[in-house]
Amino acid sequence: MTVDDELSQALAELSRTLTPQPDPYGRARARYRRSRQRRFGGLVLALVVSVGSTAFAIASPGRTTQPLPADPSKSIAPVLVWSDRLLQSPPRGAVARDSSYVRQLSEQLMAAQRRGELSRLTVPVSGVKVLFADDVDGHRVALAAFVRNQPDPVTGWPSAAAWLVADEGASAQELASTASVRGVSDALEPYESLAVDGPDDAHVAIAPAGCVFLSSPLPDGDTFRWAPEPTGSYLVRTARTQRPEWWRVDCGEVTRQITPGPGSLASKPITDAQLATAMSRVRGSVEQQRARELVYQWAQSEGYRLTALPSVVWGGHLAGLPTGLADTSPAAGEPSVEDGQVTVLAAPTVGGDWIGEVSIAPDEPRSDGLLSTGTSFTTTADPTDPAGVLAVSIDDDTGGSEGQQSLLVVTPAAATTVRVLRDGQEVARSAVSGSGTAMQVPRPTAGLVVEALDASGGTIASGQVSTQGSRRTIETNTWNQE
Amino acid sequence: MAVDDEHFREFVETRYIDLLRVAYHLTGSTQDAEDLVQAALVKVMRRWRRVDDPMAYLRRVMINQHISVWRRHRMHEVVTAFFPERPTRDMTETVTERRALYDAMRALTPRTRAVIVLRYVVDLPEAEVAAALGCSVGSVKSRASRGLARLRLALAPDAAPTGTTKMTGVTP
Repeated sequence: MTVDDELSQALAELSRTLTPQPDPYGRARARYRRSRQRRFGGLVLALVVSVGSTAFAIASPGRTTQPLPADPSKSIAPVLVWSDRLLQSPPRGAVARDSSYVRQLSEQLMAAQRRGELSRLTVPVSGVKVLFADDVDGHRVALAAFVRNQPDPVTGWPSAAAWLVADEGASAQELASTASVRGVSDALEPYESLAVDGPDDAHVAIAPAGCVFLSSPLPDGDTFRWAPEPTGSYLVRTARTQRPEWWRVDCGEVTRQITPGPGSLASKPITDAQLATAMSRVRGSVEQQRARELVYQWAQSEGYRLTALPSVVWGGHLAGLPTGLADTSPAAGEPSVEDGQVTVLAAPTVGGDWIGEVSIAPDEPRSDGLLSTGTSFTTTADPTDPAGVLAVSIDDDTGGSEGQQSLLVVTPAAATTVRVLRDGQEVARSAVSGSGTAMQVPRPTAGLVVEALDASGGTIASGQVSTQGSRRTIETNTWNQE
Repeated sequence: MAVDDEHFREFVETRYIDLLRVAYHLTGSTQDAEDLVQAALVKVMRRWRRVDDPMAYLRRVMINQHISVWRRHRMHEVVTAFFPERPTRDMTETVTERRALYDAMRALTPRTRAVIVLRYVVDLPEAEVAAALGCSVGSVKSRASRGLARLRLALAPDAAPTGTTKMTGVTP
């Protein structure tokens, strides 16, 4: 059984005993009636239109199949050209120099496929081509393309792909066994990569012959120092050679891919010294163990998009935090607001901006076991500056729609009040406790000026509301362009 | 109401459990799953006659909603205090493995989790996963690869390299 099959079975087992609540149809009808009785705001309409329009691209009259895959807004033809270039490329990797081994592996895989042992590769194939084979960090790793007799009628992809992982030095027969099959893919894409045995272990990435991999140490700001990889059109990282870095693939004069390398600045639990640095500019009150966990988790989640470990910006207990999410109702019996412990982290990113995360741990765990929620933000100003103001939307910021928006504001220690202005006119005010407050402001948040006032009423700092979400502008994928 | 009632009722009665499974794997809780499916059904009711493939439509609605909620109001469901679907009396290896897999699923980001659900629960081709998520097939593949690597540790803990620490919310 392949790992794919094993996972499918395990997930099916996990939900095997799932039982719907009674009368799902009646409940849907009742919810529909309730929804019609309310006047839905712009957000709901926008979401329905957005989702609906995309869906109807699939389900338009007379169409019985799904659209082509990569990016519905763009032609897939250039991707197929690059995919074919990868397919036509000679096999890469040290083991692949053994033509006898490569031939045996191809034959074994072809036979296994024809015996139906590759459950996700059941369509007739005309050939199997090994594109990569090497020993990497104690594993024998290979990438094989399966050329379909006919392009997939639904997706148009002519070839599928499978990564194979066995023990170092494995025979072709062992490497072609179903137990070695990892990540069967419907499509052989121009850029293929594999996390060999875990996210912190070896990685292999490959592009068409003629393209070149470059790597750069993690830049400070947006200044990369790209250097070609000695392996040329593929790249291997082992546990020993992994480093904080970004990868780039150039084909001719065109950069086709830029992506952060695997891993993160917090590859191991952070040390006391790192935690002390992370907490050195904190405002409010944050429990150390919680800070330690949050810094670690978020650093891992963002990977090498961050250029430094996150700092803890602020922590405190706030009342009346919104629980209702965009276009969803709180679960039955759940209140629409809650009290909770809030922690704000921020870190500089590749590209020069700062991104941050607000984590909210409600005092009362929700009935579904959810103990922590949060939101993310992007800002150009250093949010860790103890003399600055940080304002973050903590429920859905619907841009131009009307209504009230929940805002978390972090202030200098001397602030006693936050005042929010639009066009010079005060639109909201809130008392500050422990360098922070949660307040309601009128939408839209764009254009609002948030001022921190001291006890005398003087303005000691001001700023604007941060952009919601974390922008990722550096990462590039242009295989679908001419 | 612009809904073919009988057809819609029949659809809900026959496919509800399939939708609920998808939603459960996305959200990690039966209650959130019910809420997600019900919200999606309300959306599809508005345009039932014009939807050729309700399952694909509903999956897309659920995922978009789940991910948009995450994007703006990011969830850290991993910090669950209990494993909601299983009793604790049974301490067999199977239960332990289920728990490990459940935890590992919750540790994935919602977008990676959506890839895993569509690929390995719904069994969709990557192209359809990409279409449902509005991303490239390459993105689907890289997320599947990293997600699978993490879940594989849960499925076969012996495969975990020395010193591996099970973390939460860490898969990019």
